Amino acid sequence: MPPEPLAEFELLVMLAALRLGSDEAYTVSIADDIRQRTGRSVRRANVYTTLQRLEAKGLVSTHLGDPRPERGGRPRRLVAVEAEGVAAVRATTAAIEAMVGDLGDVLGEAG
Amino acid sequence: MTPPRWARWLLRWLAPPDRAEDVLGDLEEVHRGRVGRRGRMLASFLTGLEALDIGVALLGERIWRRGTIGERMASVEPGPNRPSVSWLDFKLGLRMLVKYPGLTLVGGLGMAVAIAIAAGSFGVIYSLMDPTLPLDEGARVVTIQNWDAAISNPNRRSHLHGLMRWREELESVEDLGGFRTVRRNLVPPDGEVEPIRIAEMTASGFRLARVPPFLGRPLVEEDEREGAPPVVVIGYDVWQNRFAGDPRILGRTLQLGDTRHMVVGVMPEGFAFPIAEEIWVPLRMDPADLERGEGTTLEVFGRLAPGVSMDQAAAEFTTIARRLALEYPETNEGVGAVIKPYTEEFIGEEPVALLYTMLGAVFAVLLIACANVANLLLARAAARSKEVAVRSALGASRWRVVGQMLAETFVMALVGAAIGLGIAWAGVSMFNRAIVDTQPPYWIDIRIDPLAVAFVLGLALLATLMAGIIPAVKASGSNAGDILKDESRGSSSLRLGRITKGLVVAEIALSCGLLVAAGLMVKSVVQLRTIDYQFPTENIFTARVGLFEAQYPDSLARRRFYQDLVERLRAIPGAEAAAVTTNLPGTFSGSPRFAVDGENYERDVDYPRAHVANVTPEFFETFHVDALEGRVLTRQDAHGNLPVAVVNRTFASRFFPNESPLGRRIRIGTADSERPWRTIVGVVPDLHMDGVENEEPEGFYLPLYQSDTRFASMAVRVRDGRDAMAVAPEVRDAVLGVDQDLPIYWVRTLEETIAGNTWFYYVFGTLFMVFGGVALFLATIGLYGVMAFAVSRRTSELGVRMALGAQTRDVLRLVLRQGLLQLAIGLVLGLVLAAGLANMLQIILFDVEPRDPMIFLGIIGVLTATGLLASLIPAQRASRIDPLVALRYE
Repeated sequence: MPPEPLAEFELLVMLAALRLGSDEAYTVSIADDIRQRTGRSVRRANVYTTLQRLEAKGLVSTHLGDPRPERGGRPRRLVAVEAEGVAAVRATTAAIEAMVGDLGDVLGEAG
Repeated sequence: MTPPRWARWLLRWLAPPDRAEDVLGDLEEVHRGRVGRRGRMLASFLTGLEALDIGVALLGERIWRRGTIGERMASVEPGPNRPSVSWLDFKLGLRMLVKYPGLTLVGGLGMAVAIAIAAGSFGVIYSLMDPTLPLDEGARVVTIQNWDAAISNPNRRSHLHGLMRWREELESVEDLGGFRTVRRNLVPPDGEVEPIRIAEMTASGFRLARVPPFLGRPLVEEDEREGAPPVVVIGYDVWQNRFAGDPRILGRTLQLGDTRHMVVGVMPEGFAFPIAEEIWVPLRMDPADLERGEGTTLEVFGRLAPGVSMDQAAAEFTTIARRLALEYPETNEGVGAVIKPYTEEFIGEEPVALLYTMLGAVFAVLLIACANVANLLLARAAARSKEVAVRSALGASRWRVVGQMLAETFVMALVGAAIGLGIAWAGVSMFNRAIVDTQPPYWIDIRIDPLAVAFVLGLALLATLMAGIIPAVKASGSNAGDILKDESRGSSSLRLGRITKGLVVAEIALSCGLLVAAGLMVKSVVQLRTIDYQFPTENIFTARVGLFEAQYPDSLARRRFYQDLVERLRAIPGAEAAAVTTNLPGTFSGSPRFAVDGENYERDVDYPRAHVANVTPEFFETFHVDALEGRVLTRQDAHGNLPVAVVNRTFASRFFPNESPLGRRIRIGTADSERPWRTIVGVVPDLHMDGVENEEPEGFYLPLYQSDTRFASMAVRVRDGRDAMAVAPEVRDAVLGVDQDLPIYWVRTLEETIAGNTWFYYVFGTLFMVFGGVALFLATIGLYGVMAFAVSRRTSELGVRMALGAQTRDVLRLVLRQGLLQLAIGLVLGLVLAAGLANMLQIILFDVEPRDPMIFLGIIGVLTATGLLASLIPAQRASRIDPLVALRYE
């Protein structure tokens, strides 16, 4: 069965998690990454709920890291992208690229 | 540099338990970064907002993923410090209600009654306290009255001249208008002639209301002009009931008195502005025809102009009133104007004070009920302390136990609330039926509305907390180990003594206050019933007539009418006597200023006041009145003969102390009065000319045929044993025999007429009696419950005492002492409360001192007796304990 395509914000979260890697990807860093790259404001609440949904679908897995002093001695919940997650990202971006196709000129003009 | 405490608490509470740690970690990490960039204050604010956002999102996610809230509540295991409840707790609560039927009955019913009273009273109070006119921007509709500074009394109505002047000059009030209600005979093409209430209203009333007619048009200014065709606008109910909802109603006619009015409009259902109107005709009065300050008085209404406040309007009124006083000193000297919200006009300050007292009483009853349930629950909690201990030992947190017990209480409160709402609904229906006769304004809508239901649910919750929290916390706070080890007295380890005793003391105090109030009200009612009126109130039929100026233009025509009428009334078979009088005995008569010949009065306000009634000579025969001195009025006291008056006993002793008033002269009016001097020819007993209360009884009677009377009451005394109301058709015929178009109204017996003025004594007397009775009942079972429980807890102790030689008497004394101490403290507090309550009730007490010693002593007696009884039964049971059984008792 082909992987279920990702919603836009899900895709952004997955891409950020992939870039940060399983040692550094957690809610705060993911939100910051999206914010810096896209320039749009990100509600962390959205990141939490999106990650919970992605985890429920089996696209990512999470585990608690070590306690850290700057967090009041609390751990981070680190995010690792699973193979199904990578497949879903690939399928979604492929679909987008296929659709954009030769519209580059049009979009360029429009932009 | 931690995030705000509440934000952390919120997240901990809302996040899934397994996620709380890392979410909190994120929050703290972000918060630290923020503090560095934006400073502590702003950072805390932003972090708080974010915590709220995240918390809500996480909670939403949980609900979304788990299904319904119910499933969630049932499935999520609570964290260590979180009070939580599950459906299981509510189910357990229901089961407990069945398992302890006595407690359910007493607690639940007590709560039901209390909630019923609270909800019902809330409904009544809420509707009366702050009624809103159901019109567009109804709160900006105002009423305007003249204010007579000399007697510091609002002269309720205003005259036409004042209205015209206000209309010309006022800028802060729009759609200024006036109305008066009159009675006319409605003459249907077929069927009985029927007197009906009609509003004569300026067209501006319809503009002000902003309610478009259902059919046709409202009244307009053109209808008020001289010579305009007579028109009428009818209400929806009149249209439905009298015209069967005829869609071609417009253009049909309605005969009111001797005039046929064309129907030009039908108002929509529920519209009855200004008070409770169903038929509106144009108010036609030409001020040029009237002397200033004369003519029929009007009620004046208007709407505040946009952007104008009440204070600004009042200021403008004051200015105009001053100018009028300068222009017309003789009529407008010292007359100001009062402007206030329209609905306030109809509910005075006294009822509002009364309503607050009632509200206080209601909450006292509710408190008693809660104290009771709390006590009963404490007892049950004590009995269940082992169960709680086992739960705790098996790992239930304290909050879990508290939550469960609160859920149980809530179930009881909810059952009570449901029953209570039912009772309240029935009570409000009864109340509404009871006040229908008083024709309350149409916007007074007393009902159990959604707000009242919400209020009741709030009460149930509050009651749960009040009644449940102490037992729950107490029961869960005990050390499980101790209780479980406490083999022999499993149920007695809980230390509840002080709380239960305190609750009982509070109950007794509150009931004492309520009972005293109830006692005072009941005594008022009894006093009312046993007034010695010195005139017969039974077997007397009464009704009222009012002569139209058009048909009876002068006093001669009016005198002829009454002469003719009295003859016809006297001829009615079964009538022993009949008379016409402006005011019936036992009802309030007007009290104008008058002068005694030979006395000097400097200013107008120095002239004394006394009640006056114009009566036909038969009045004295009808009411069995004999002269104490001199003579009563006779047929010889006719128009053209020497003007005379008969004064009553109080009048004679106040104005002519130590001398006979016979031969002295009095005159109605002040210095410039043009009325005749009247010679006093007799003294008669006091006939309650100041109404039932009769606080200022002095008054005098004038021959009706030497006066000018437009409105009068007929009184017909029938033979003993005959129903007074049976002569109603004959009286109607007698009136129609003189004037085919004249309606009679207020058809009732004299007893009913007098009772009509005292209904609120009965209503509030009954209410307080119910409150007091419920309070007494609740306090008694409360005291009994606590005493019985205390005795059962001490069973083995008492057994040991008796085994060691204590006598029955000693045990009795021991148990009674505890009960009596609570009783004594409760009574002392209660008497203080009662004294305060009695002061507030003073305004509605009839002939009863607020410190009436009989009532206070009586209530102390009643409470002591019931308290003794409630303590004695458990004490007796204790004294009959078989020591052997008691020692084995667990």
